[in-house]
Amino acid sequence: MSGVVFLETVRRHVTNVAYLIALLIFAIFACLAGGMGAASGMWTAVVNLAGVVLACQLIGPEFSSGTLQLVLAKPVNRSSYLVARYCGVLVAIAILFVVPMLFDVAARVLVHEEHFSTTMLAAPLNAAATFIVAAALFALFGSMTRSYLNVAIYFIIETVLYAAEPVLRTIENGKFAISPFFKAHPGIRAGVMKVTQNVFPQVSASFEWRWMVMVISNGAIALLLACLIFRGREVPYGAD
Amino acid sequence: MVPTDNQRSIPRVVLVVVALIIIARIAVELIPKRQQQEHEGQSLVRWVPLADAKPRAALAHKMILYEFSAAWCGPCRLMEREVFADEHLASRINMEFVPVHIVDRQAEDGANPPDVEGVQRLYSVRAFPTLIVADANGSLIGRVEGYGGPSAFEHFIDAPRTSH
Repeated sequence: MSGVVFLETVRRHVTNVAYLIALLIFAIFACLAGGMGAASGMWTAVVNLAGVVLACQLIGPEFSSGTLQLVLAKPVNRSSYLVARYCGVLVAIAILFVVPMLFDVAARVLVHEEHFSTTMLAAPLNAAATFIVAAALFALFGSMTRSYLNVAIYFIIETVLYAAEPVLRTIENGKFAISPFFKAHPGIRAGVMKVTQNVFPQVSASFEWRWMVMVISNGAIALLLACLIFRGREVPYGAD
Repeated sequence: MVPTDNQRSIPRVVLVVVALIIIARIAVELIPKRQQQEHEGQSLVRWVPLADAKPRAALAHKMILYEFSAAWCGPCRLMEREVFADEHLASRINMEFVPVHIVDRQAEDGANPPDVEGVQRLYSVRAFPTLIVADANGSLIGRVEGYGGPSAFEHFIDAPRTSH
């Protein structure tokens, strides 16, 4: 991993005015949510959106702006570059989750005099952890397409996978010509569910080491695939 | 722009780290979940705290599945072993619902915490186990008392979806 690229990626994000404003808004929102005694981590849905915006820009804009062409004209290893960018973006996303979480917990403890418990931390930290997979998938799709098409691919796959399970179950329970086949092979539906849980892990409200290992390993595999594709990709200027 | 061989290669450290992570994942998957669960005393269902259930259900557009049980309740233990420890059923519960596990402490402590008391009164819980499916506003969608086996449970969680 290139330390320079990693630090530059983190610096570029955390010194961005839009990022800082978003961080401030999220912190205020979390503080209010905690102060009103709302469910812990209920603000994470909003922060998720900002996380997606950061993660999808992993390499896309670099193509469009010509930065990538300039960087790759130097003796920089492509995989190191991609991994460093990925780690930098993950740190920027983690800050977006951790700072509001601290305000949320502080508000709970100070205003509501709640006893500190790890349950308060679980939902936001797990939500941040899902970006280990999400950012790797954005890198993977971004390494094979034009910029920002990775977002479309990501959401299309997510929608299709989440829709597939209920559709298969409706077919199984219905009286369609193919219903007996799916009834006889319940493993198909179970397989679809398994894939969905692996690719788009759901956020849990408690800490689970098995879930965390799953998220990290899936992120690692997606990032390795991204490196394999990205290392051979041509990056002509103006492609996007 | 044609990358050089040096630019194309994947650093050995990246490959080693990924390999180690994959080995860890395989090792974790090889640990039988039932054994792990007995060891840790946990079900495979990712239970959500009662206070978090409604906001979570609203955010995720899911229904809430309340499971009311008690420490002394034998059928509750059976359901935990046959349903909440079953990989397929637990996956379905985790994916389709916001699951909430509520343990009645009336017999042990003489009273329940106010939030548990409130939700038990709201759904008129008189027996254990009782399963309630409700929407994010708390409106009742489905209800079943007692435990009739894994098939009956799956039929129950199917029903609210098809009728809702």
